Amino acid sequence: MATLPETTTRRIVPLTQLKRGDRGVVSEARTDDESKALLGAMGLRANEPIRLCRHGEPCIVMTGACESCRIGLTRRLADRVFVEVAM
Amino acid sequence: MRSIMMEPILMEPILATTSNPTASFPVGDWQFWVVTLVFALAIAWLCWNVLPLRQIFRKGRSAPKRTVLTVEGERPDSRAKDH
Amino acid sequence: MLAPRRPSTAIMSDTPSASLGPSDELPGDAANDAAGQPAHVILLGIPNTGKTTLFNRLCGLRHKTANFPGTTLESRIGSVKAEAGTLRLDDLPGVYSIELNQHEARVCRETLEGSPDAVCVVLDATSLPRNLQLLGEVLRRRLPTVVAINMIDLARRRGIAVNTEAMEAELGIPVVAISARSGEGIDRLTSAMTNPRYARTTMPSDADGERAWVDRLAQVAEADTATLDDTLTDRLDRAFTHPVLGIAVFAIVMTGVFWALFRLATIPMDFIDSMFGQFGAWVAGVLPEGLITSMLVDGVIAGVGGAAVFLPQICLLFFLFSLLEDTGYLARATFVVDRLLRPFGLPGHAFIPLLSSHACALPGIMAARAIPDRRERIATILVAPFMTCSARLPVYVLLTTLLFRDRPALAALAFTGCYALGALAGVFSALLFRRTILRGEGRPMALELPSYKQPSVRDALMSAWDRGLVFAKNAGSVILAISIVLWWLAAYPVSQPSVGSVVLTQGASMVAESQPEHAEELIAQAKALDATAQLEHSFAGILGHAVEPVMSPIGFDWRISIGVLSSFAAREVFVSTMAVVFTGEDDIEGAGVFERIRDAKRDDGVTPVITRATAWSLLVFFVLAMQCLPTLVLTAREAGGWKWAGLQFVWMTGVAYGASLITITICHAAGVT
Repeated sequence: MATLPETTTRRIVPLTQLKRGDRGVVSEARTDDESKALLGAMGLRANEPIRLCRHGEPCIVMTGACESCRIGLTRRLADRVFVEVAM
Repeated sequence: MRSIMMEPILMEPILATTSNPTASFPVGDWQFWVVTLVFALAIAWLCWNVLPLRQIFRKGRSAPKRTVLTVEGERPDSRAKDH
Repeated sequence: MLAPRRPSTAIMSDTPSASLGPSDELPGDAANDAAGQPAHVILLGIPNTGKTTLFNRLCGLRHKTANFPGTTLESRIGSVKAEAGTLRLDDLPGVYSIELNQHEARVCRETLEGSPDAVCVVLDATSLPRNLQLLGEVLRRRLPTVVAINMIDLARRRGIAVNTEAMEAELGIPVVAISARSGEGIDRLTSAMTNPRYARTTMPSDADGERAWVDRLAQVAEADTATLDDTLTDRLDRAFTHPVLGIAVFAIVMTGVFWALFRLATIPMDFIDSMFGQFGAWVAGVLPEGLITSMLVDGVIAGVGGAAVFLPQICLLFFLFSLLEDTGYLARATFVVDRLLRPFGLPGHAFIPLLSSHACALPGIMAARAIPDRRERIATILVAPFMTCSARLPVYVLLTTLLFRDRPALAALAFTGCYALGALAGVFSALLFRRTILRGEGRPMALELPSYKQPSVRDALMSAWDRGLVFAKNAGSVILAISIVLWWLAAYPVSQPSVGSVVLTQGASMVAESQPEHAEELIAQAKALDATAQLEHSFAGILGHAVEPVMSPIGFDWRISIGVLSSFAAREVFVSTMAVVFTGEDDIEGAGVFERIRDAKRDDGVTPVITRATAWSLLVFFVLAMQCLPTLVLTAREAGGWKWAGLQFVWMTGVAYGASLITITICHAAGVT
């Protein structure tokens, strides 16, 4: 389970506010239950580390501690996936 | 003058007269019945498979509880005799 | 022996091996001796793990396409040759989790509850941790399991190692590293499948427990420290999804696909066409003349040939799609297309169905199964036939040649206009449906982007084969039945030779010796008159006359109406029907046939049957009308009800009629005759 160092300030933002290369930890997906379950099964579940590969439409993230999965999301969906980032 | 009937283009027509309209179907030719039977079967097959008759007649059958893959409507091992 | 070995602490359960009946149940199945009982194995895995490649390698051509009853979900059942006997392998759809509320997940759950003999879970060696959740869920079901870690060669190249022995020790079940692509480890896998075991650990059911279990297993497999160097992937992704460059790349790829479809595929298509023609002529020559022969040649062979001629395009299309998907490009292109189609209420996933429909709507509509959202899927299915399919092309060629005899550039422009008209009508109809009866926010798209890799030609060939077979079965049977029906309707009732043809025949016999060529001409004309008369007085002709009042506002007389009606069964039939109606011969490329169609006059003897205005109206009608019975059937099946097929028919034909009316009105107003 990846966590950020306790000393840094953290804030929770939607994916669309990250820039290329930013890292974070998934907080939650604020969508309907079915989409949330599917995203979780694909790798965007709580406390999962991610790295942003592409900003915009589509939004591409790498998930997992070993960055094993690359997922593309439409901007509308990326707006609803919230991640915890260091300030 | 003899009128020469050239060989039939599609099939052998039987001269039709106004008093005998069914003569425009070559009922004397056994092959006519064969092709008409095939035609009827084709229509029946189309109706059964294409039109929703099957759905109407099949109402009331409950869905199977377990999901088993079927090939063309039959389980591949359906013919196995149980021991 | 194929019975699974169980750890002593497990509950003994009665899982009898499912035995197949007679050995000819599965294709290619050799006779089984008494010692080897075939067992039933289920293949499961998340998407993009190479499960399809593995299935192809294990079963090859020894498989059938199967259906989950009551659904449109397709799957494959194949047979695997193992040392101990033959295994039946069921390929289930790829799912990220079997506990989801998704249709595919539910079907997987139910199949597992059907107590198969074994489950083989396929994992991706290059990204093991995310695969382990599914493995845990399967192990919870307490079934004999085998783990196949696929793409081990790819992992090795990237410096990723997987400790399969440690995994096997931890789980207590066989764990085999394989490469379905190269064949590495396949033999060990098949023998492991005959010796599956119950796992000694199960994943806990709470979320934290699940994470802990997955993390521990990833640690054991030593797969939690590898990272991929993906700068190239990043760059390619950015290029392929770039707002401008992405579309350019997409346009280039699609042009290539279309070129292949309409240039490359015509070679085998022409071959099949001539082959069937020759076969028909041979049969006609060999069999005695009569009704049955006539039905065989003009009904059955012509009908089957008419359907078979589309096989090369369909097979080539799915061959190319499989290659594109394998490379990983297709997932990126889906996002590009999503941007283009979203304004019309369609998702990016709709692009394969809509593109396929340019060859034939049947595989296109089947491809719509990949669209997750029900409303978006139905909208795509409803409008797919608007895309100009290959069957319309002979009609386009006939009409544009009539309109633009000596100006090929304009004819080509009109051709392109037809494609554009169809596509626009399709997407705008989709927009209308999505704003009215299929209203609702579309599902936001999240798609896994697999790593770029070299495509497998073998898998592509298998995909082309499978799709071709499905098309042949679905469409072929319906088209065959329709051909028989049409043949009979055009043949009966039989009309006697008309006065005109009798006169011609007599005249021919008079000059037979002095002017043999002239005599032949007269006889040909007599035959033509007879054939047209036959068609006019047959049931088909009666129908044509019956609908004439409806058709005349858009410029169609009874002859054209016969053509339009019969083309509701199969569009390309229009051209040969027109040839028969006007000339008595059904070969449009025969000498003078085209000219005779162009010069044919209506019943008043003065106005041409196909005026320019009528030709435009016909063209527009064929672009837009729903004239394909196999498509209607498939729509009913895939969209889940005949009301959808009914809507499709009424909407498309209504739009076609309206557009034809507008066209002919404009033509008359502009003085076009």
